[in-house]
Amino acid sequence: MPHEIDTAKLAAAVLDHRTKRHLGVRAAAGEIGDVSASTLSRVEKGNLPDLDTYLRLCRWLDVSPSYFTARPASEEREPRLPDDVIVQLRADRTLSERTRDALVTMIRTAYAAAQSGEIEDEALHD
Amino acid sequence: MKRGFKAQAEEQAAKLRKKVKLKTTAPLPARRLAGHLGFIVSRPDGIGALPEHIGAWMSCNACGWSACVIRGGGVALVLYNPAQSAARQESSLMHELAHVLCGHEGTDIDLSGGLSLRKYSPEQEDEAAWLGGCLQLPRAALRHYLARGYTPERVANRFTASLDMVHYRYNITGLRYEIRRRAPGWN
Repeated sequence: MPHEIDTAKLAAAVLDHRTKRHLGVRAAAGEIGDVSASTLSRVEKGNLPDLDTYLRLCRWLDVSPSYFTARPASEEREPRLPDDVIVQLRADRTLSERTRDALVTMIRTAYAAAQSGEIEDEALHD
Repeated sequence: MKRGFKAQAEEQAAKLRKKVKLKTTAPLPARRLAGHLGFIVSRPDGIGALPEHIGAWMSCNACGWSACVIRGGGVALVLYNPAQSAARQESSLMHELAHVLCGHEGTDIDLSGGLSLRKYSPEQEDEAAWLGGCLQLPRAALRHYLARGYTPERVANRFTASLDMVHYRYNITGLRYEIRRRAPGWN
């Protein structure tokens, strides 16, 4: 996905909201305010709006600006950890970005593997 | 450290050995202690679904991490970096298990990607370092082998400890003043 904003999701939401309320492009643009009809058309075709237009659209759709932010593909594959999971790390004081990113992936993947029993265990149990 | 903590740590090292049916002077492998405490111990290449290039990076010396404990949601897991020497692996694992045994709460800080890490105070780090050292090489065990003429190298080998740790425990426990006749190599 080339942008941080999911433009396909944004386009679908704008079109859906406009058509459900039986508004033409010009009327919808007027309702949003400070957005031209041509800009609105381009958004509905999947083009990325500028920041000001984007924020106005979010307000019109009554959603948070983060609603349309695209998540990296790797994050989609990795399960998120529940809030009650504690992670303690023994490491150098400063970690490179590469290690930090790799750690996030490793921790999430290991957690899921441990839950499903798909992790090699070297511990000697009672 | 809190008053009495050092002595209690030595007692805990003895009690845990008893619980897993080991002599108080015997080595207690970190993986045995982890298993007794209900933890899985694994390494990057033990995680099947982990992409190979990430596993390879997290298994080298340059990446900068030693061990990681993940607890909660029915999971109790310790991961370690296999690039470390066997002695370093033991001390890293023991240190992290010591934090668990001490019941350290710590504070949570953001790593990235929505992940929080538990961070400990300097006092908590000192406690975990002390307890970890006791768990790996208890005073009673070190005294036992010193009295039997073991060299530092032999003790290090038996307890999968670094020579530095052996000498450190020899000095910090006061054994250097207690055992007069000893094998060569003890400073």
